[in-house]
Amino acid sequence: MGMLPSGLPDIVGDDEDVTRFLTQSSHYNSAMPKPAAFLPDPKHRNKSVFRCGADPERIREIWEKTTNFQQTLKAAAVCKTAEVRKAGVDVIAKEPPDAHANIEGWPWLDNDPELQKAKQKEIAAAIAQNSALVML
Amino acid sequence: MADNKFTLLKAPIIEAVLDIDCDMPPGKEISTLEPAAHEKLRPEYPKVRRVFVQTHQIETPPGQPPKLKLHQAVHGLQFLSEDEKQLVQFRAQGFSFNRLAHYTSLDDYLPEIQRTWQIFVAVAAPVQIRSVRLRYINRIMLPMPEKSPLQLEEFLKVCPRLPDEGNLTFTGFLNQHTAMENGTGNQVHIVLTNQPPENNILPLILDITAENNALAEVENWPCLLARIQALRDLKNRVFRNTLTEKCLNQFQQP
Amino acid sequence: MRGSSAVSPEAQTVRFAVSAVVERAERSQALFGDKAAAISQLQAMAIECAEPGWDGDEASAINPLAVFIAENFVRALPNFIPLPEFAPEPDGSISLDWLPSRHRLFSISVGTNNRLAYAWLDGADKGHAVARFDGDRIPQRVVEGITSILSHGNASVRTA
Repeated sequence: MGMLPSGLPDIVGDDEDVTRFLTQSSHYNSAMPKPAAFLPDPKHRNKSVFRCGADPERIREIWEKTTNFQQTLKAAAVCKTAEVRKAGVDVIAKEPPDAHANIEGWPWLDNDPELQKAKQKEIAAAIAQNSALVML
Repeated sequence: MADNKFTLLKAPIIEAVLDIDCDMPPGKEISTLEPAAHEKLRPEYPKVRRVFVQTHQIETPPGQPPKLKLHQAVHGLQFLSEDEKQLVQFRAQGFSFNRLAHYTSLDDYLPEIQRTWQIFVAVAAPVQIRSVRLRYINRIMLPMPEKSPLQLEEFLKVCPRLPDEGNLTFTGFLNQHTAMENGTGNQVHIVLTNQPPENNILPLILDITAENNALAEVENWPCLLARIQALRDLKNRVFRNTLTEKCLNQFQQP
Repeated sequence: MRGSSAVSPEAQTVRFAVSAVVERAERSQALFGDKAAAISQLQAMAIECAEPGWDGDEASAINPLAVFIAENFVRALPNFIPLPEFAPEPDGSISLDWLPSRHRLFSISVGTNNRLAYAWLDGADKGHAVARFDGDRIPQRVVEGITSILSHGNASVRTA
């Protein structure tokens, strides 16, 4: 196993936390992050996350290093990599920026975009279900 | 008189529409069908129009002039005859055939409906039929007496009524009924409303839509035809039973 | 979304007359108040996400056609179904979510056509499907799916 410039292992371990920055208040409620927060970007066909755990200070630190400050960080959704993989997708380290990774392996059906979305939604819901909400 | 033999010398039909709603193939935009469709329809329907769904967004940032954003998407294609009295529509949700006045009889139009429907099936490749609707919009001109209020019950068997008729006079009405035909499951929507009076004539709009919502195969024209004819019978029955003989007789005068 | 296919001026007369009745009903707080509030929230969210990159990444702007269809969906919801929560999706669609608990949820995506993608979690059970929304009536299997998810556990959503 190699090391990345950030010092993190190049393979994301099952017991690592991955964190999704939430800048839209409509992407979470008082209890949990919503599935929409995890749906993949249709251009890059993945979902950006950071390997910064659930500590609010660490989350803010990574956010401030990577943001362009056009958005306000409101909360974070934190999930174990094992749960992401159980949902049927994978977490692949991708730096720079430091501690960055992508959730990859989403289903893509170019001839049926709605069925594609339905499959992706089921996966996103499973990840959201197993994510903790960190208010910032 | 059998419902399928019901004919009027001068039917008050302004527009007749046959809608066949379908499940369309996923991922196919209706706008991409235009070239192939128009190639097949052009001889009888030389004109094409696109039907858009538009949204207008007006932002009023403080201290700045309002900003207007317009978004639109193609929702359907209309292919029109030269005189624009007959249309074929390829919609995001299916097929339509429209005939405007002067309207003769559904039997006169069925061959063309079949032909254009089959063009739609060939070009758009719908997966299945979801519903069939037959809509007739009638405009009935009621003469208004000079010195007394118009008595709607002279012309309408199913008539809007007012409470306290001695002290109230209609200035407008809208009646809407939805019903299911016993035994067939066909539904009918009946809308009765008026337009503003014109020179002592009150125009009445009687809008009847007969609808069947059973799933069907797109290739089975005989089944579709039987359905259309059953809806036509229902529509005729509703029309005859909405209007009095006095009213119906108007449409038998040359 | 099921606009009329009739083209005559008289069809327009009928459309205006019927629309006036609907408009009057929607001005009533008793008949429509909660749905009016939900539609306002939906529109506010759409404005907030009206530009590409609203997520700080490369999300597409919320599509106004998706907003239009989502509004029609809310209007068509039976009164016994609580109103959903809304969320923007990175492809410009809108998510309508019923989230009674972490382990039970029902989520629908409204895009730019009449096919709705949806997924559900019900404890260990989960699934996904597509249903067609004609603009007037919520598909029966969607109604059944939502009511099934909401039928047990804490309903922490607003009622219509």
